[in-house]
Amino acid sequence: MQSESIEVQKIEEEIKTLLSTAADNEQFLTQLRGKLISRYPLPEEKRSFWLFQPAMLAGLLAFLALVVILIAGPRNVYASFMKLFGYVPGYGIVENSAGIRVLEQPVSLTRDGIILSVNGAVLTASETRLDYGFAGVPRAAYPASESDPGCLEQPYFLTADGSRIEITSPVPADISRVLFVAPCVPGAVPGAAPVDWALELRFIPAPADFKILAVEDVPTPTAAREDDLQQPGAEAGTADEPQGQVSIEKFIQNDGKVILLGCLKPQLKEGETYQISGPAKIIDADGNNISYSYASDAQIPPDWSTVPVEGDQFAYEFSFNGVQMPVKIVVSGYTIQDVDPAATATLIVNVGENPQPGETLEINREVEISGHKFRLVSITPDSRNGYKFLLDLGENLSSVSVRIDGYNAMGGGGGGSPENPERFQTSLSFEQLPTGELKLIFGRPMKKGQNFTWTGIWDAELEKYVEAAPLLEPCLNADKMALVPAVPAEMSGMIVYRQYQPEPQMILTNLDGTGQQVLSSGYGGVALSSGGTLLASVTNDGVSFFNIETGESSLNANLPDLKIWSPDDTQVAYIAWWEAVSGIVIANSDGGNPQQLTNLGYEFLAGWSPDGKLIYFAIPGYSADGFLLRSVEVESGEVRDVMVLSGSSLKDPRPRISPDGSRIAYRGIQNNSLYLKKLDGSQAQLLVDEVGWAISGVTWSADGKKIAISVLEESGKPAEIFIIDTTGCQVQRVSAVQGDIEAIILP
Amino acid sequence: MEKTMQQRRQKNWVSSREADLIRSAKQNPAAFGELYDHYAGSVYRYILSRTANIDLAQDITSQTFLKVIEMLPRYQHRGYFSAWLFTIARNQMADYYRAHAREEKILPQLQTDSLSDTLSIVVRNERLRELSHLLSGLKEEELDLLRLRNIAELSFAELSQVFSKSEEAVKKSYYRLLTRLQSRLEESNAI
Repeated sequence: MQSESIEVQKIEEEIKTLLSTAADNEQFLTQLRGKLISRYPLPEEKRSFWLFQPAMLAGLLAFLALVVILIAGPRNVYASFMKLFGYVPGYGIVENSAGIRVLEQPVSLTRDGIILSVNGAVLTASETRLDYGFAGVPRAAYPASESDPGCLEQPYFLTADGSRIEITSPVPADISRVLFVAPCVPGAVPGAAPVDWALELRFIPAPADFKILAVEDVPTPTAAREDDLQQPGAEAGTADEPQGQVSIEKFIQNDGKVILLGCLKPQLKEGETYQISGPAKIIDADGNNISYSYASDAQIPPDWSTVPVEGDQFAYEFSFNGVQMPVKIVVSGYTIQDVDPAATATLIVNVGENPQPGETLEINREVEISGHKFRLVSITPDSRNGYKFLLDLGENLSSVSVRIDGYNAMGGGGGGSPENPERFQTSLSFEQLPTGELKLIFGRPMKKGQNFTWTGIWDAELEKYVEAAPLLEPCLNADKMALVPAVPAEMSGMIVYRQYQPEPQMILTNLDGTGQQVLSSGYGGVALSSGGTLLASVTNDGVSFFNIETGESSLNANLPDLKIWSPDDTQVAYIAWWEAVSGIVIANSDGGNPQQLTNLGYEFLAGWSPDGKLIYFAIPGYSADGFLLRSVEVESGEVRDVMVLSGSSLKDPRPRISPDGSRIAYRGIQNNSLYLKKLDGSQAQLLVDEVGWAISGVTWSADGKKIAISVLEESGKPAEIFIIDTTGCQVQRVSAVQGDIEAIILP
Repeated sequence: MEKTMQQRRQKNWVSSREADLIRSAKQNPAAFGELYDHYAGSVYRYILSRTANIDLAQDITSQTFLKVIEMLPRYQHRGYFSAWLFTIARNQMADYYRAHAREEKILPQLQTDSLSDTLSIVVRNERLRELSHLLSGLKEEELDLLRLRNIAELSFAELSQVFSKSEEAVKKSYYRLLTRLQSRLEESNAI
């Protein structure tokens, strides 16, 4: 469907196809392996000064701790340790020793239209964290040839006495002014962009309102026992299970949210490793799954505490509004072991003389390797002179390798499927596709060990929790669809919808299908002004405005796009992704005074707050449970996380803030459900449950009481339009027209 | 998309075994061999993707692993062996390009499906052609980001180490790049 947004997985596959280069590598890699191994034994490791070894540092820290205990007494020790690290949102976990300094004020320099900005800095006794960047660099400034890597010189600080300091190194406490020197724009061709950039930076002691949050200790991190917390959805552990725990080590509180920091601590047998079956679950004492996001800036420092540096670490962030303590983190998976590295098994198959890409050959033959049976389900030729092999490995094996006798593969890959763990797919590609009778050789069987469920419990005295809102019955589901009455003839109002056939057009019509007017052609969107009189349609020539009351039209070629209007209709917002500008841009409604507010480029605009101060948007990739809703302050550009849109579509949740700014509607994970969630983070209400193939449009009425949606029964057919009263749950069908709903205008 | 990300994350969960191997590999060739088996293919594919020249890719892959052998005794594991490895590979590439400053640009090679009269293959090939054109106009660092993510299959955490940026910054750059490519594909009606 044209109106669906980014299909990341698809484009990644295509990029992989284009950037991969097929070549014979097996023989070369084998020879290189032998050559490398012949160089053993390796030279002895050079020992650095003992004091700077991580273990020595840890020992020194422990010694200092003992000194602190002796001097200050045990009761004060905990507080002392808590001061060692602090979390600065946006900068991460830093040493919280005395003397933290920050950048006095953001500074920038513009040369030839290129802007160097230093936006902030946090300086501690052990490091510097600098937020800086170049913007507005023209494409022509970068090398046209891959053989030219462009400028690789790194920026540095230059002090008054002429000495250089790396920008990540500590700046001595007695130096409060440095020159930030960037020899060039990174990656640009020397001469194509200005060189020798210099900006004076001034550092001042962190002000009293500097936000550095305590990284608090979880006193005795332990694995949960099942009798500690009986939860639905959590697997009970057994004495025979592989032992391990989810160790929650630290937590950080911040404005109603908490970040849990920790790691997995497996206790496995020699030679065993493990595989996690999916994202961790966080479950509260009421058995509710808690939506969380990954706090990407809260990385645990490498040499910190009891967290193994090579361990599997996590930093989960969630709102504790409505959460009942204690909270349990549950991780499930299984162990893996080599069965017999030397074992092989063969199978002869005939793929024919002219196998075609995508045409699957069903094989369904059993193979036995080292006493374990598995099944080759099918072979599918692909478009890169290769085959995909689908295997059913059964309950015991986790993987096997495949090769074709007499043919050297140039590449390959494979892996299991979280949805169907017994199915394993592996692929091989060749210079020329092998055809006819093929001898398949299977090897390197890996055995799946026992399943496990590891848990960790976190309990702490936090702020008072808000009771979760009760779940209501959905207003519309598959069973209720057929019973939905049509909009009554006496009901007045208009809708804007997109039709695809016979050509893509945006159409304004009365609810009964009369008075149809084509607003624009093509696939550009429509945004209804907050006042409800102006319809902005995005066309190839600019934004076209149509006044519903007067029927007048006008075109503004200065506006490249328009997604939402400010509450007073004086400003508009859209997403820019071109050249140097990527992110949310606001502008006057005539296109003047454009200002970039964010810099991602993949934001999904959700709406404007009623007071005009905030713009809400959702972004993917920050939570396993759905898109993350953020707000950006129009005046300052300050971005804040609001909440995870739990269970939201992975493609495009079509987030829509209600006109009163209290709720958000968004599509569910299968794209055919719709949730309503209050912005206070309380539990989402399922408004529409699994109707048809997908919900293709979502829009609020101006009074915030009704939501119009369009539902696709199947791909390629026009969608049906429904109006849902969110207060009384009544649903009506707009039977006169079909298409994707864009706006609704009710009296 | 999310499934892919989860799968990539899961790959990182098997890192306890890797840490053991790295410790052993400083003295034990068998352990090094296992590490090599795990990474050699993807390092080679990554380098081959950048050079599109088998001889050159083999040469730089050899140099990369020789460097690894040389530096391994001093390597301190911080959970990102692959990031360390690919940083060495990139440095070897940069060394090569510095020494051969007049090499031709390596464009993504389009290998379309074999001839067929089905509409879907025609449409797909057309889209791939357009994408190939777009990729050839990217900056090297952008292409490298795409390669390391999609050919070498590094996680964002690993990429953040390779590029010396925060994980969020790398993630931002990556998705911004994908969005830009996707939008331009849509613009050209390639989908």
